[in-house]
Amino acid sequence: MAKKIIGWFYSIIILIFFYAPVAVLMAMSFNKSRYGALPFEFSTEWYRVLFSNQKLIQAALDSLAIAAVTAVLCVVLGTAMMLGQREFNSRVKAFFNSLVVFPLVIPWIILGLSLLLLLRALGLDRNYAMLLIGHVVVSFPYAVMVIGARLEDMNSEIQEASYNLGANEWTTFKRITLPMLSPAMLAGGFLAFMISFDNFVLSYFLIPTGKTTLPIEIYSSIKFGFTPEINAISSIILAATLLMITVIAVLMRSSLMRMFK
Amino acid sequence: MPFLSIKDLTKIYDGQRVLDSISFDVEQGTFLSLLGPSGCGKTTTLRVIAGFVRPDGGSVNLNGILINNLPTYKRNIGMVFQSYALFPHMTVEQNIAYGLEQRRLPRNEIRKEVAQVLEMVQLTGYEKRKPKQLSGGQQQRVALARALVIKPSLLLLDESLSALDKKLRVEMQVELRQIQQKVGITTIFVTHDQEEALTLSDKIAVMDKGRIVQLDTPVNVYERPATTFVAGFLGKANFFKGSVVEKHGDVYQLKMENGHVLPFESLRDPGVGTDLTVAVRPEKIALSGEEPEGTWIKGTVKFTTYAGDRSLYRLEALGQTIEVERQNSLGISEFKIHDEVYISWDKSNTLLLDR
Amino acid sequence: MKKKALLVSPAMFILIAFAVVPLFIMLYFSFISDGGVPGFTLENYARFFSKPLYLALTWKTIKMSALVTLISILVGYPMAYIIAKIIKSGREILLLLIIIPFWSSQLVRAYSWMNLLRDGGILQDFLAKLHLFKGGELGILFTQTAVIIGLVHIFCPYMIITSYMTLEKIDDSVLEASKSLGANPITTFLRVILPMSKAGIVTGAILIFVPCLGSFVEPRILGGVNGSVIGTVIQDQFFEIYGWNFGAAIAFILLAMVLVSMGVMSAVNRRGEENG
Repeated sequence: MAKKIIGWFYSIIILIFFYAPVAVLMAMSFNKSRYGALPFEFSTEWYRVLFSNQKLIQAALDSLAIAAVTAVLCVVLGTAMMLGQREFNSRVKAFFNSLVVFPLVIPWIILGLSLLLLLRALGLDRNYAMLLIGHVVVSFPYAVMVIGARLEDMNSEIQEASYNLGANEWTTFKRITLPMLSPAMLAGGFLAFMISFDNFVLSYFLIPTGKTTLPIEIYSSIKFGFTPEINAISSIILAATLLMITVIAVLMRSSLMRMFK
Repeated sequence: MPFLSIKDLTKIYDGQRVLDSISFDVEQGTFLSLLGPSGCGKTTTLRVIAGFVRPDGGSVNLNGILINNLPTYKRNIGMVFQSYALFPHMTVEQNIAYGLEQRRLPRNEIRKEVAQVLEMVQLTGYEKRKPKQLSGGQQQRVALARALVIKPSLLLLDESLSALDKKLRVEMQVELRQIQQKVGITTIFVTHDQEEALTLSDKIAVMDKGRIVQLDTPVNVYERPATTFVAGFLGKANFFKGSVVEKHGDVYQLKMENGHVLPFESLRDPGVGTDLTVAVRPEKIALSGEEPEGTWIKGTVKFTTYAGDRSLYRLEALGQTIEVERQNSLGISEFKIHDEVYISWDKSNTLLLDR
Repeated sequence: MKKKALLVSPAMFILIAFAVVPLFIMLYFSFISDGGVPGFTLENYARFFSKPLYLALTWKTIKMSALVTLISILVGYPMAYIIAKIIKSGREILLLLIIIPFWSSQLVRAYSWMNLLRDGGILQDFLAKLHLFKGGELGILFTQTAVIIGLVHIFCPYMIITSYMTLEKIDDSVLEASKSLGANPITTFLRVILPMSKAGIVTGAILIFVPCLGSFVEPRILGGVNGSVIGTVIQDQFFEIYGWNFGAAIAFILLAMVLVSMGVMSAVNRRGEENG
């Protein structure tokens, strides 16, 4: 019993450490004072300022678009890869796997600048195509992990049963594999979306001149000084993240636990 | 011409012959069990027939047609998987209808067929349930219904009962056999459970190390095992290894490796000078306090166990342990530890096996 | 081989062409002079290793990353243990609460500490109210301390999650077995729990140490002028000074450090497996 009390006590301290700065940030976005001074006075002033900041809104929309495309690419590529790799033996699979996790263990600054140098070697300017590729490379492992885990849980006898009942490969994919995989694909897509939406480093290196994304815009505002509308947009991002993670958690739970008891 | 004919089937995984030139025939309507320990190749044989495994050699003929190179989905072979492999995102009805949909049957006909097969497996009323809402036994029935509804030419069962608990398994065995006989479908059943194979089958193929060791009726496989492996795998047996040294009248003398000599009678003449193993099943041995007629050996009771309807004895004789099973007709064990007893058996129960 | 095997090729192409090949291009450029010296030159590397400033920053980056990793182990491992072995009801909600910051914007989270830590900010007010702090300036923001706090905040969830995943797999009966054999809680921890969960700690350490080595946003935001690390030096080469080839050389040195540290840590992990 004493153990439990200590356990909860410790957990709460850790959670305060994790959440206090974020909570303060969100509270401050509703504080009337420009410099976050106390006493706290409620105001939605900064949200109004935010929504009239065309540049920031455009940056946010661009980031959403980039993240959406990245997510779709990651899910399609990841699903194809996980389905295809089952044809290989375990040594080849291990090689594929190490390639997939490679971008996780290489600092993003290195990936970003090496892609920029690739552009230079090819004689190209920074462009959205390369930016998207960069985002796909760093978001891919997350999507693959979720989809791969689900596929591994799927008993291969399920597909065999389908062939056995007279369905060919395509019908089996359409009617059995895809429906069973879809919650994981959705969850993997969400994760890839969040990684991409939040990604500053790759965008920073690869964004075309004169363009911007939300993280780049936030970064330059922070460097520039303290702007309350950044509090507001950050709060929106955090709230959206919270929502999405909850959705993913529910998706994963139901997909992993509902189908197999 | 046999309905299913398998010739010289060979499969090699990582240099190991998982199937070592297997051949057997199955007549139409037969329930054949492939029985053997894990790794004997029984499941691989089944998966070759189903089309999931491509053999490295040999042929599979079904109803006179070579099906080796036919993809699974064109074979029209029903299969019940070990895990049942029900589609978790579909209802019972949808699971069963799946195969019929692949055959492009009209809607109303599908509905009729599904209702019929559900009635047969006694699951009417469960149409709208998802697999996870069913008990193990019910899932098993759905899997069976799904495999039968496509009117397959052959039914394959892969350890299909092993996930059920003992009582339910026995019930399902009876039901499975009844359905199989009613439908009259040729069935191949893979199992490692000898009791299950004995109760269900018309024929049993005992497999070991990628080969079929014996293919015969349950009675013959049990009563007339072809090898020591079969005798030991199906039920228990006492083995006496040695060579036949002489013959007095009807009685042979087996000089055993430990130096002792076993006298025995047999219906078949083993021939003096052959190396062989004499085997006898524990329940075929008679024990008595007085000297019986015919051939006998003497032993000492070392251990007894009371098992309700039977008593199990472990005796020492001829320098080895001999197991004996007796029915408890009087409700108590006949002999106690340290008792000296006479061990004998009818010559028809002497099994002569290779070494 | 079946046609299905071809499904892996688009993903493999992208990963090889855009994650592996560019590293070799980076290596190529690191041997090219920014100053127009023709042909291959070791100039960039010579420059890096001859300037005490760069070596000092390298050492500082390693120390910072090691410290962040160490603090994350000390803070995160107990948390993981509590979730895996002590708190059984409410475990899922706790895990969710740990995972949420893990997935929240790193940039925003680093930024959120600015509000808290800056002179005259919330933390200063709070400490003053508790009479723990008297007058003057708090003086945490734009120091190395602020950078480390921010990095621990960002990366500690990795340690919690990887440790949790190994701790959770340890069957409670194994711990009971240890106890029943007469081991006290400390022995049980050192001889059973720790060896069995070591893999999680090492994985977590790699996932923290490596990105810390390459971090530049958090040091920039929270460290200000005191926040210079290798990452910020590289950033400056690409965005302020336009010494791309020198930047490539530093990035390659960083990559080498990453690979060495990963090699060391997975060797530690392997040795643990052999012993355990």
